[in-house]
Order: sequence, then C-alpha cells, then structure tokens
Amino acid sequence: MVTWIMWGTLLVIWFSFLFILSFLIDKRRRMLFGVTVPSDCMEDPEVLEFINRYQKRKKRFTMLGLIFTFPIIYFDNFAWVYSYFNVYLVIFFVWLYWIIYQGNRQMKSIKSAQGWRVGEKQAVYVDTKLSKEDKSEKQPKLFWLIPALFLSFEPLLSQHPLLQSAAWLMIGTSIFLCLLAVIVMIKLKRTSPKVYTGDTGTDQKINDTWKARWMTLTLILTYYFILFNNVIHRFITGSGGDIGMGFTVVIIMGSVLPLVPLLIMHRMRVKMVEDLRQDRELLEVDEDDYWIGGIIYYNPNVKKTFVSTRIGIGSSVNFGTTAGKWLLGGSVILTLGLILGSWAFVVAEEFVDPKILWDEEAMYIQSLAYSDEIAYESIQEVTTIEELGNTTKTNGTATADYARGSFNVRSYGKSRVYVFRETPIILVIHLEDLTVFYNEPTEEATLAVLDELHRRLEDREDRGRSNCPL
Amino acid sequence: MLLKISFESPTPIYQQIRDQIILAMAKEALLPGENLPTVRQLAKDIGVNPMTINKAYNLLKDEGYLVIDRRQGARIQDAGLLKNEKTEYLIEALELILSEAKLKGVTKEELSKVILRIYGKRRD
Repeated sequence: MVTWIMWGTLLVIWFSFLFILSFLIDKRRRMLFGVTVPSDCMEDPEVLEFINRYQKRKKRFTMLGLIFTFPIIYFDNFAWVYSYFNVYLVIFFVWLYWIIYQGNRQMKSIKSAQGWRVGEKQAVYVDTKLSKEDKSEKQPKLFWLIPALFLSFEPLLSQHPLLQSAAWLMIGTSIFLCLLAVIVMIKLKRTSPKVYTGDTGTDQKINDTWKARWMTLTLILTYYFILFNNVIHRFITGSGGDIGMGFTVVIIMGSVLPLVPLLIMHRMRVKMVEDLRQDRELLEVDEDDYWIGGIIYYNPNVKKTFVSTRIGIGSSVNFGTTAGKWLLGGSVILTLGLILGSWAFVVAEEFVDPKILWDEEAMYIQSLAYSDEIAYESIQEVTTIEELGNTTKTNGTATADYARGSFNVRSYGKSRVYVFRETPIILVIHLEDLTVFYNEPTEEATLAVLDELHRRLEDREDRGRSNCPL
Repeated sequence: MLLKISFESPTPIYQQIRDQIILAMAKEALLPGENLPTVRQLAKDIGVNPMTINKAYNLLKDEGYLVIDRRQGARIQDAGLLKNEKTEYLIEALELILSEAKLKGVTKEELSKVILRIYGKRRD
C-alpha cells in the first residue's frame, strides 16, 4: 500500500514538473524562459529553432519522467522505496532546473544579439498619488476570520480520548493558520500599489480589485486548510478510515486542490494585463539581468523581499536583500535537511533492529527512534500472540515488514510496538497503563527472549520471598 | 505625478527624485500646496533607504520648492512664495547650458520648443 502511495506521490511530482514547464513559453506575458521579448520575436527564425529544440528536450523529459516513476512499484522494502523516491526527486529536479537555466541563457544571448529591448532597463515607476492613498480604511475582511477560529476547535468535539490527545496539536495548527492569514491580510493591505499604465484612476482600480481578490482568496484558503487539518486529524487518529486512504486524500487535498484557485487567479491576472495591453500602453521594465537563470531574483538595489515570479505562479524572493538571503538559504537548508534527515532515518531504521538490554531491576528495549525501560515489578502479565491485528498508528513507523513506535492496538488500547510482521510469534508485555509488543526477526530468538524474561521474573520473585521477614 | 527611478543611471537616486519633482511642478503635474507621499511610504514604494528620500526632500526644501511640516509632511511650496526666491544662480546655470547647447549644435527653434513646452503650460 505504501509503495502505491509513494508512486502516486511521484506522479503528482511529475505533473508539477510539467506544470512548471508549461510556463516556459508564455506568449501572453511575452516571456520565453523568463526573458522578456518583443511580441513579434516569435516569428524570428532563430527563436523558432530555439523553441523546436526545447520541445524535443521537453518531450524527452516528460517521457523519461513518467517511465521512471514505475520502478518504485517493484521495491518491497520501504527503505528502497524511499531511497528511490528521493533519487528520482533530486535527478529530475536538477534536470528541470538545467533545462530552464540553459534555455534562459540561450534566450538571453539571442535577445542580446538581436538588440531587442523591452521597456526601461532597471527602472521603478511610482505614482505619488497612489503612494499617498490611505490604506487603513478599506477591507474589513479580517472579521471573517472569527468563524475560522471557532472552526479550529472542531477536533475537540470528538469524545474518544485518543482523538482528544491529538486534537490539541490540530487546534494549535489551525490557530497558527488563522494568525498567518491575519499577517498575510495586513501585509496585503499595506502592499505598495503597482503602476501599470501611469494613469492614476486606472491603476487605482486595478490595484483595489486585485487586493480585494487576494484577500478573499486568503480567506478561502484559510478555511480550506483548517478543514484539511481536521480531515488529517480524523485519519491519523483512525476515525476517518484507512490510514493509506487518508494519506492519498491528504496528498491530493494538500497539494493539488489549493493550486486550482491560485491558477485561476494567475490566469485572470494574465488576461487583465493582456486586455490592458490592447487598450493602452503598459509601462514595462526590462529586469532580465536581475533574474539568474530565470528563476532566482537578485537585485540588491531595491529593498523589496518579494517580487512576482517569472516562471510559474506566485512570488519569488529577492536574494539581493538580507531577508531574502535568510528566507532562500533557510528554506534550502530546511528542505535538504528534511529530505536527507528523513532518508537517513528510514534507511537506518530498516537496517538497525531493536535490541533488548537486561539488568537486575529492568529490561530496556532500544530502537533508533524509540526506547522503553520496563521495570520487572511493573509487569502484570506476559503472553504471546501470533499476529498484531488491527492497529492505528499515533506516532511511529509502519511498513510491510515491521511496525515500531506508539500505536493503538485493537482490544489492547495504548501500546508500544517493536514487531517484525513475518515472525509468527509476538510477546505481549502487559503493564499498568501500556501494552508492549515485541519480537525478534526469528521465532527462535523471540522464544529465547521470552525464556530470559521468565527467568528474570522468577529470580526476582525468589529474591522477594527470601527477603520477606519470617 | 509619475516618478521614474532608474537604477542604471549615473545620476544619484535622490537627484533623480529632486529633478523629477521640479519638472512635474513646472508641468503642473504637482500643484502648489499639494502633499507628497511620506518619506517612509515613498522609500517603500521605490524600494530604497528612507534616508535617500529624506535627502531629496531636504534638498527641495532648501531650494524653496517644498515645505516640510511635522504634522502634514512634505508639500509643494505656494507659487507666490516660490517666486520671491533668488534666481540669479539659475540664470548663470542656464547660460552655461545654453552655451553648451549652442556649441553642440542645438538650434534656436529646438530650444524655443523646450521653452514653450515648459512655459506654455503655465497660466502666467
């Protein structure tokens, strides 16, 4: 099941790569590989040849990208699945970046050789009348976040104790989302108006319209993600159905669906600029030199941290500012850390088996991520079962081969699990408020642990009797 | 008025702001008594340090084009008061510019057009 989910995720990644590629030839914005070009350049033979070459490269990338999603299905070991997933991600991401970077460089050299110039180079237009606008009077939309705060507490409505314990984490996340929305909306309110035409009335109208639209979208996305958060809560606590199904729903809800309104907004904006272009002359600025490879914006001359992106939708960070350096550097380090860290963990978890250490008073179970100290006096009973049965993971790792971590095991409740699924015997150690499930990779080794545990429990009992005063 | 700030120009940014505000006043795109954006707002919109805007505003104030009020911010000087300022230095500067123009072949007609474009829009 996990393999199929990872394959589905690879497909989503493959689609998102194609989505990015679809922005490379943007005739409406008159942009090729993030380079602004005049509208009539599309008929230029050199540009046509360049586009032909790119189409072939894109075809190769698309085909190989799809073909190489399939091998993941044939791995039965989660560490291999996850390793393949990361290798695919890195190789195709670098390849995609290389296509964009090379295309951007070639297009810049064509533009320079042809002497094309679009708009003023490295200039900023500011309408002093728009700058004076009082930004505090409009958009009382922040009030619409109040119901969202109430909705954040929805996970508490469930009565099950397990749901209650996870609920607070979800509530915290939802409140964080509300706060984030407040910050975004205040930022939007204070955003400097953009000069499109130089006509104050027209520019004012466009700026107001877009500000209102972005605010509405922020609200919609906040509600959406709070509901999404509540759905995650249902799945991770097992009340929403199968966890695998939940993971698929989470991937679709968390990545694909929110892109739809963003894409619609992007298209609307492109259309608006296109209409304006037909009605009147637009004030254009040629900022090609500030775009490294068409993706990274580096302009130390201005203090703006965010600028409209050239390839794709949304904003890019200005790497030339201190905040931009921290944001970009931080997110790269964080992403690499998450990928490499989780990768190292999954691989190590696969190859390092849990082990037991014994001493006079307690036994210690140690795995890579979890450990338990079990005092002999706290053990109420030790039994064995053949298989684990129905479980719900609360915090742990569950693959086809093993399950480790905190689980909710049916008819046992709150449990700690260190189990190899293939071994036909599992020790069940009953404690006062917890049940520990443990076995070794083989039946013989598991039985040896059981014997050792019985021996130590008996020894302790004998010692207790001999110490008892007559 | 529309300010166009070029980061590639050898002219410093504060000088570009100062020059364009004077040009806008002459063309009546900025009227006497009209408020200008605050230093912080303009700095944010252009994306430069507030000190740069402050320098431009102070220069304009020293030259008599702006009045800076603590509560109302920067506003364009009243036309009557502006005319009381000394103008000899301008005539001297103009003489130099006109001499350069003459030597470099700018014709009288071309100069007249510029003068008419600036003076023609003014009511007086």
